[in-house]
Amino acid sequence: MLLQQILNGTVSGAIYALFALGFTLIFGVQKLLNLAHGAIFMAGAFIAYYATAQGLPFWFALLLATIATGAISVVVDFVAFRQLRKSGHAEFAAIVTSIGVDLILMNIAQQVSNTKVLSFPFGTFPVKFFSFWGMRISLLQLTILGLVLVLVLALAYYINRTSFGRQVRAVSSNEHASALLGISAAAVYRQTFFIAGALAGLAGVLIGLSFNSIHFMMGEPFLLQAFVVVVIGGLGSLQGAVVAAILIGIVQSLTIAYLSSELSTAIIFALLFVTLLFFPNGLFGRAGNYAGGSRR
Amino acid sequence: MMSFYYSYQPLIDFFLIAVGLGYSQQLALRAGVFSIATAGFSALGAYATAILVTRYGVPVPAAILVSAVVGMAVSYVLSVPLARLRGAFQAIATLAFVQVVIALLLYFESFTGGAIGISGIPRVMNTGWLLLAVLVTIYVIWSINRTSVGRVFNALRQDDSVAASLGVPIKSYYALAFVLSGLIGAVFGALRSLYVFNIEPVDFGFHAMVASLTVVVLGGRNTLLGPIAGALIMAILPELARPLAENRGILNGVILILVITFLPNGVGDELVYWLRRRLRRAPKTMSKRKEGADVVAAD
Amino acid sequence: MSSLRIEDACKYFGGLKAVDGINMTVPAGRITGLIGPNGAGKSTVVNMISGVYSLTRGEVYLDEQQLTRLHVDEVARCGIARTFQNIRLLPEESVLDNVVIGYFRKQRSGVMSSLMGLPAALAETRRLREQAWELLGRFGIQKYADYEAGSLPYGHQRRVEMARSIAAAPRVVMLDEPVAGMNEVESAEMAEIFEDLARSGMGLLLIEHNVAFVSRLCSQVYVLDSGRMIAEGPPEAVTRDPKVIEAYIGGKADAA
Repeated sequence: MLLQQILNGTVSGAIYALFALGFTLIFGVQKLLNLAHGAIFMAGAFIAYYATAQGLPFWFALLLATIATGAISVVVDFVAFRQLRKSGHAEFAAIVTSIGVDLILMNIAQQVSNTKVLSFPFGTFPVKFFSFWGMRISLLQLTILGLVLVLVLALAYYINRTSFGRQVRAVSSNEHASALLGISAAAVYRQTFFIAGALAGLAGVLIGLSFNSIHFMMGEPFLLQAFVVVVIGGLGSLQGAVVAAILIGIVQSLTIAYLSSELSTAIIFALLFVTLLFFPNGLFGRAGNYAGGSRR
Repeated sequence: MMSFYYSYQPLIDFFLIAVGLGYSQQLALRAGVFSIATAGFSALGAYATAILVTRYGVPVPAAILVSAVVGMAVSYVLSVPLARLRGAFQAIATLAFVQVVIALLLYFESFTGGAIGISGIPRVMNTGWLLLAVLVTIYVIWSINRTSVGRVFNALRQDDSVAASLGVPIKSYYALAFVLSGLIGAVFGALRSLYVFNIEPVDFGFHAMVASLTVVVLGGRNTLLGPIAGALIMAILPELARPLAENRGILNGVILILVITFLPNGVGDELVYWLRRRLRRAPKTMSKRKEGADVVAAD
Repeated sequence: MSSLRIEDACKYFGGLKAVDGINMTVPAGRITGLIGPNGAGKSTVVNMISGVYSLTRGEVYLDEQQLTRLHVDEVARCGIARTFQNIRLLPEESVLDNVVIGYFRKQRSGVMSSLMGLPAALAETRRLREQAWELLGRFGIQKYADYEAGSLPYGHQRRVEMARSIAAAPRVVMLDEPVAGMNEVESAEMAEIFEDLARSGMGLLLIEHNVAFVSRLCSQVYVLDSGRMIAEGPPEAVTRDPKVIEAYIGGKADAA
């Protein structure tokens, strides 16, 4: 039972990681919170649902949703962030514009779905279970774990080993200096938003499939969850986000199983608060915290 | 005039509540505290009053007073960890606070009514009382603006290390701004609960948070006119856009993006600044003030 | 008469010895100079005294009171004021309000009377605005009182900042490059103000590149180079000191 809960938590955590990675990637590059990330996640589930409803094979719907949400995310950057970057001091403004985009995307989804809860038709993904050491794991869960592992490794390789990663680091530390080095900041932002959006969209499809429930407000709890994940992992830290996401997934699964789901939410957000208090930089982050008025 | 009042009374009442919550949100931002905790404070105030009045038969004024004390106490406790953070981290911490409040409201079902909330709250509020509450709030903030506390809040928002270098105990003043925000938020939460018959946790969730933030963003973060202008827009807009009722979310979203991008100080603040510039005798050599670009509440 | 002293003060950033074991006294009623080439650690000294940096070793005293471990605001409330090398005004506030905030330390009305808008608090605001207005006159910038501080030219912003720093009549004021970017006439105006302030009993510490300006005003000059005090004494003696000449010629030749 305990092991089963830990396993289930790990699978949820793996999906949270996909969501939180994009969120933290955007923060890492431009120090802005993207509150539209939850709506992009939701859009992924919607696109995949309507694609399968049109009779397209599921693997194709998944791919389509991933690419489409990446594109939506780039548009979000264009609409909500680009203008603000030019003016500097965008920290507050970005929260507001991304809430604006969030409202727009949710409204569209609400209209499209007539405020109904949708679900993938039975058998969209083969229902199959494997048993070992007294635990059960579904084919879907196995696939999710494998997919997330591959994506996280690919992203890590992309960020740490390729020239794109160097450009990201250059732009995030100093946009003007990197422009002098011939790095196009706009291109870097486009790429980070695309990757972030695609990961969120993919997470949306996987969540929609695992919980068999797709509705226009589904992004909200995941966005809030992502705050917890990225703060505990350290805002802007990719490996931190992955570890923290799996940790949160397990904590959540255990607290729901042994306590209650409301208490689970309270505990998780209390965890965020405690982390902010005692490890303001998270477990892996390097983002600066601040205590005014005291000697440094 | 009276017929106007009767046909729009609910609208006017909700406008007044929105103005009050807007001031709670504005006070924090104006002093450079990047808080979005107003929804949480109003939840605490609303539940404290509702529980005391419906379960224990506490007289309404006493219940509101308790709500005010709860709001101040919780915001004071919260201000301690908040002082160690800045910017986006403060926003996240206060957001977490709101989530914890809502989760606990759901959890202690026997006490709070869980997801169903509390109903049968006596409806003792009317336009007159709400107006009185808003006027008192305006008087306090107007007083702040004309005296030392207002100067310190403005300094904290623009450069808190300068404030410290002039002898301002900055953590105390950050706490003061946050406690005032908590007080106003809790009181207007309490007043709201005495107006709407029943309250439930979802009333105070993400949407409530966005709503009070929207009022301040649209209206303005620094002037007295700000929340009034913002709440007015939020009250009138749905009326003007009745045919678009289905797409209200899109409309709100578009307006938020346009206002923050092109009128970053908000409609009310921009108006006040424009009037100030008009009233000033301008020698020709002076450069015009830089438009908005570097004016932000957070840092 | 009070005086500010720092004793054997050190500030290390990791392995970098930004300030290494210096002693200095800023007596009341006098103008003291702290000069040295770029990167000598002059602004670090200001930040150590004012509480921005903690000292790696050493002590700071105002008379017998130890300031070493006090926070920025506490140091300020003891009566030590400063300006910033890169000028830090409140950009959205008017020039007048930028000076009014400088009186914070001297304010008598409490928080409650401010929140309630009591007559005493309002009267105090009026009085401080009048005082600030006069102070602006003394710095020759009265006509800009209503302007947003961020919109003023650089030299005028410096004056606003200096007016703000001395508003609350500190016992010691540290002015970081007060005449940078000013011409001869303007510098002379400032010099006159500094001498007035010293006569009123304030202790001034001028942090400068400009050796000529410092020599004219100061009774005592300290020369900092690479975090060490290489010379101190009356300006005539110090400017002839071979080590000082070496430091200036060896470093950036700012000794105009």
